[in-house]
Amino acid sequence: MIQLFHVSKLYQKDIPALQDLNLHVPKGDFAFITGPSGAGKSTLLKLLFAEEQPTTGQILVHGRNIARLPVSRIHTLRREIGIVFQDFKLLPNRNVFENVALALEVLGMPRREISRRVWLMLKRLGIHHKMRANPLTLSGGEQQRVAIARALVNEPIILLADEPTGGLDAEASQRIMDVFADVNARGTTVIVATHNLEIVRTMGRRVIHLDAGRLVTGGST
Amino acid sequence: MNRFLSSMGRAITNLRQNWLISTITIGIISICLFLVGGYLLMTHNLQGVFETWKTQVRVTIYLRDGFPEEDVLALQDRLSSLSEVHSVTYTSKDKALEEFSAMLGEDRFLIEGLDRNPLPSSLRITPRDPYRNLDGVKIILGAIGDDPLVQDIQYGQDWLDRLDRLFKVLDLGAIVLGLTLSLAAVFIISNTIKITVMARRDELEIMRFVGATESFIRLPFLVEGVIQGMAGAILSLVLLGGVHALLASRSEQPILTMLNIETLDFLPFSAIGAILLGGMVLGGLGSLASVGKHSR
Repeated sequence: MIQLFHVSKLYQKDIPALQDLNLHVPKGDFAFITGPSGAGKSTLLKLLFAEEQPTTGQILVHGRNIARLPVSRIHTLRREIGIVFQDFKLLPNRNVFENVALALEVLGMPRREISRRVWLMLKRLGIHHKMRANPLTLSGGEQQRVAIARALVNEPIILLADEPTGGLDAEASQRIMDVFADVNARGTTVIVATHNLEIVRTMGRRVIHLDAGRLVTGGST
Repeated sequence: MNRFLSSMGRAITNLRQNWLISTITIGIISICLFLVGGYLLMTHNLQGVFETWKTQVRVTIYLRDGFPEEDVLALQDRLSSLSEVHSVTYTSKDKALEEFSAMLGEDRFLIEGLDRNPLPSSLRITPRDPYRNLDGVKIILGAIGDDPLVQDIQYGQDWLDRLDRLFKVLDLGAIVLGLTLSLAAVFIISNTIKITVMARRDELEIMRFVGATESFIRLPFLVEGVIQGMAGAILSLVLLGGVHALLASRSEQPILTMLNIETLDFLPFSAIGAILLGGMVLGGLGSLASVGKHSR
């Protein structure tokens, strides 16, 4: 499903963000990426959705080598991947419904179908009653659920989350993790980069531990 | 078609959602195009003045006395047939005296009682349009040659010399000023649009993260830029129209009187079209160039 072969990423000469990383994440897996700040967690996620290109090595997603994906084809990869960020990245000039609908508008889907799918997704995440609200008026946990709804609404095969519970309290964090577990149970591969070891322990899932850009544990299942 | 309509819809929604920055952009585009349009309006009206001046370019041949009229008419025919010549008017000695007398008015007693008419007969040559300058006059002088009938030739050499130099300076000035204004407009407009795109970089980033194609992202920006450019151009034309109406209603202004401008024209259709098209092209290209810088 996701395979990395001898992947390295250098932002500046001689300062590697990732070094000789070999990783295998099978379809339907749920894995946490852990490690201290600067370990390379965010860089690894950026490589997976082609925000960055590896300096060396190969990355296969669904059997396709994305290490050398041309810019004009990146959108095809991102339509198969949902992405969630710590800062939510919601647009303040659109309401909750419109923020989620954006992920389907880019596919050119008919308006009626967009409305149906967005409604069902918001309902599934328990925020349908806030669909006309401005995202800035919501709590952190609610905003993150809107961001997750946007990431999931086009039914991606992979969900990537970068510190999704950063800044959220324990209850909101657990609720986000419950959503991820549910998504994973429906067949989506979930990869979560986090500092939150309490959550990692509670969930009892696979852990890929990085330190200074190197893989410490969890390279293969 | 569906894709274009959807882009159009999204562009209008974006304009509405970002109305403040859109209004500022339209305002700046209109000010830039107003300056360019004002310059065009000025040159268009001065062009008429220059044309009037050019029609005053004449060559007058004063003829010797004592030649039969057939010789004069033969010279007139020969000069009329030149391709550089528009018309040749013959003024006889008697006619010249009559005109001079009329010109003197109440002082005509000064020439009464002369025992003979002192004024020579003359041929007045009006050159064709492209030859109403120093070079054209020189060609005509060459064609007149050493004709025994010719006593003297007058063509206001000093005046024509100065007019020729003035036209050359004005032509160069028009090109330099026009280019400077247009380049300044392009620079200011593209930077203004860059600011609007920068203000929406989060939106661009998110659209890319959710798998939007480059054309899906760029098309509404292109449409938005074209709409803003067109709105700015229309606004600048309305402002120009207002300024024109104001000036035209005060036609006794000293500057207009001095330049002999009786009616102040508005811009010709070609210039109006150029401003509208220029606004749309500037807006569209400015948007595209700015969005392109945020690729990947």
